[in-house]
Order: sequence, then structure tokens, then C-alpha cells
Amino acid sequence: MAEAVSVDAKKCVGCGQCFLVCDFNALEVRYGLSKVKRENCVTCGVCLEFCPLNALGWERA
Amino acid sequence: MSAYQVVVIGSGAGGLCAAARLSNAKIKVLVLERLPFIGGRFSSLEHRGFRITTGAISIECGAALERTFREVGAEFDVRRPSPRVRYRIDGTDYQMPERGGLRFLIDLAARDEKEAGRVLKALQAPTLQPEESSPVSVKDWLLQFTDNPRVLGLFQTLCSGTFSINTYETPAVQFFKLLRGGGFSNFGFAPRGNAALVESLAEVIRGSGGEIWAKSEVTGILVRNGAVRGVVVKKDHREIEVPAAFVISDVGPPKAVQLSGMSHFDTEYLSGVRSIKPSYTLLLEVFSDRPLLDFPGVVMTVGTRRTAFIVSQTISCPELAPEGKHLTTVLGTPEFSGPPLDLRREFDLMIEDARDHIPGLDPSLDNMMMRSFHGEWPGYRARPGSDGPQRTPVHGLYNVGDGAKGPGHFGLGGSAEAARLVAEEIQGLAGSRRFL
Repeated sequence: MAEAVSVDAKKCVGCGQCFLVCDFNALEVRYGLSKVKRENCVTCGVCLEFCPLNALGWERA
Repeated sequence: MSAYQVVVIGSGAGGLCAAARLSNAKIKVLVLERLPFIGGRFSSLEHRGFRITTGAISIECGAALERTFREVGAEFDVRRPSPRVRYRIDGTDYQMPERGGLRFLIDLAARDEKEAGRVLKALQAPTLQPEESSPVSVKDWLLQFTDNPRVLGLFQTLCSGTFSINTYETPAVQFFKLLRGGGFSNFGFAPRGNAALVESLAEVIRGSGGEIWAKSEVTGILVRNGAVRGVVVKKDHREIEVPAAFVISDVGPPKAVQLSGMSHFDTEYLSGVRSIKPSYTLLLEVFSDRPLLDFPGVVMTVGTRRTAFIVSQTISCPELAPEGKHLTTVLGTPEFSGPPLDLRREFDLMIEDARDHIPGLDPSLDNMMMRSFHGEWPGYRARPGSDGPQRTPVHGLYNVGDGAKGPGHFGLGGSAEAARLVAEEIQGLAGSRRFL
């Protein structure tokens, strides 16, 4: 089962820590909210660990 | 596992300053951090060769934070841009003089000798200043003496740039404290990133036998008979109890209450904690192939929609970017530090400001991060005048950090000062108990 990273918009404040630690250009921070660029995401999960608000999670792709 | 006298929850500026002071006094400390890196909003992360802050931008020099580094023997690698500050009023940039800066600015903004004199007199006359308990805001206080939009705009820039809140949200009493403390004009940037400053403090802690555990989330503070007994920490998917005589929380006073259980705190303390109000911050981080400003310091922008200042840190600190690349930060404050927060509108206004003040800004916005700090991860956990206390009703449990800043201090200095007060109290108590 393929999984993808998803952002919980209710928890994300847009601090950008996920963007900063992503080596695959798979995140962007627009208007105070993180967005996953699925075409670039390798599902390494590093961004999940660096989120201070547990706003990132896995969902079925 | 050996015993720790003090457990610090959270490795932000307050937590690390307290831990470094205690370590320097030969007290054994364990710092627990739930994230994979230390420093919280006082650190930096590497991104494609850039070293980018996790929150803090200007690092105050010659004050409480630098004193902490000096006193514990940590390297304070901060470079002060020269010149440091410019004010941009109606499209013209003015260099701040070394002394008499506020008089200079009010003269510029008022453009009328009588009006400038009236505002300056009000600022200087003790009888015209609000009493300590007065809730009057900076804006309402000013409106007694002037309605000049440029003067109001100048104070807005000062409040937003220093406190990350607007004049109508800043208690005038707190603004006068800032003035009496000499303002906030002596600052610099960490050329190796804020993470290098964080690591300097961490070295002091480790060098004295203290430990710092990352990826270790505290899930409870243990309290028995009104005294703290340690913490429960989740590490490697297991929960373990770590006993300690003292616990310092750097995760905000409300979270410390939640972790301990509300029943351990009296109603007066809880009502104080509930009255803590955060401040919100908006940042545009712009990546570019050339410097977007012609000035190494901070450009304070007066009369904008949302923006307080713009800075290209990579002009004075090229180490913060890959060769030939630059980073420019635009800092602003939303209309209110509280809900409802319309981030779309707030950032649109920030971008309009950026277009006004940064010539040749890439209109596609492709090279831009639009970061915000609000809610549970705010600019400051407590705006000036709303900080929680360092001491708690639980014996041995203390607050530090930007939700419990030391009296009369702001920003990082407030966290460093609270850490000093707490560390000194614990040193006294630990010494008298002849602990271990």
C-alpha cells in the first residue's frame, strides 16, 4: 500500500521546519501553511519528525 | 542511568541558558527535547546550503543573553552589521545616529517642531506616563498627544519589530520599560546560524557531565505532596521515569500545568497562566542570486501595511548562504495576535509591502517562503506584560522561556534573564540541601 505525507491544516501554522529539512523539494510554505508536492516526495518521513505540532502524517496515496 | 538533580523540559533559549548556568555551577542536568534537534525557535536548520532560523532573527548583544554566554564560557558567535539600523519613512532612508535615536526619529516623523516637542515631552515627563497597573495601549496613550499618522506609524514599527505585536495591543507601560532599558539597537546575526549558538550552550552542558536527549518527549511531570519528583519521558517508544529534585519547564506555563495535573496549582496561579497572551509573527523569506537590499543591517519600514523590517542577513554574514546566494527576511505582524487569523489576507498585505520596498522582487513568488508563527507555535508565547511567573506553587517546579520572561526584559534577553533567576534560586537550594 503506497503512502503519502499529508498536512493537517488545522494543526499546521506554517513555521516551515518541514520545508527546511526536506532534501527533495517536496514541500512548500505558502500563506502560512505547508503543502506537500507529491510528485517530489520520496516518503522518507523526515518532515514528520521535525514538525513541532504533529501536523504531518501519513495517508493512503 | 545516573541521577540528575535538575531536569529541563524543552531545549529552547530559556531551557539551554538555565541548563548551561546550572552545569557551569557543577549541578547535574538532563535536558529533554521532543524534536530531533535542539534549540526550538532559537535554532537554525540547513536547507540547500542556507542556514535558516527556526524563529529568532536579530540576536541582542551586550545584554542578558550575551552575559549568559560569557558567564558560562560559551562562544557567542554573533556578528554585528555595520551600520546596523536604518529607518525608511516616506521612501527615504535615514541612518540612526549612535545616540538620541528616538528624538531623531520623532523629529523625522512629525516634520513639525512643535508636534515633535509635544511627543518627546510626553515620553520624558513621568507625570504623563501611565501607571504600572494601567492597561492603556501605546496607541491610545500616543493619541492623547498626536494623531500624526507618521508618528503613529513609527511607534507601530517599533512595537511590531520589537514585540511582534501592534501599538493597539502593546501596553504603554511595557513600551516605557523598553525605552528605559535603552531600546533594542545593539544586535547582530549568527554567521554560522543560530544552531551554532545553541551548540555552544550544549557543549557547556555536556562538558560538565550534563546530558541532552533529543527525540525525548516528556509526557508527565511527577508531583507528590506539593513537590516535584521528576518526569515521565517517552524515548525510543518506551515511557521511563526520570527522578529529579528540580524540574524546569521551557515549554510554556500552560503546558507545565497540563503535564503536572491542574490539581497541584492554586486558582490564583491558574488564572495568571490563563491570562498569558502570545504574539504572532509573519515572515517572508526570499531566496535570491543577488542581495535585495543595499544595506547590511535592518531596514525598519514606517507606514507599511504589515511589515516592521526587512533584512538581508547574508550581506554581513555570507556564510548563511551558498556562495553567490542571498537570503532576505521580511518580518511583519498580523492585524491581531489572536483568532480569527486570515493568513491569505495577511500575507497578501506583506507581499504588497515587500514589492514596495524590495526593488526587482521576483513577482512569481517562487523563491519565497511565507512562514507564520501563531497559536501553539507563536512568535512569543507571552507578549510584554502577560508573562507567567518563573516560580510555581509546586515546590521545585519552575518556568523559563518566552512565556515566563524575566521582569523588564524582552525577546531572547527575557528568556536568558528568567533562566538566570531560576538557575540562581536552584543553585542556592541545591547547595543548602547538599544534594547527593
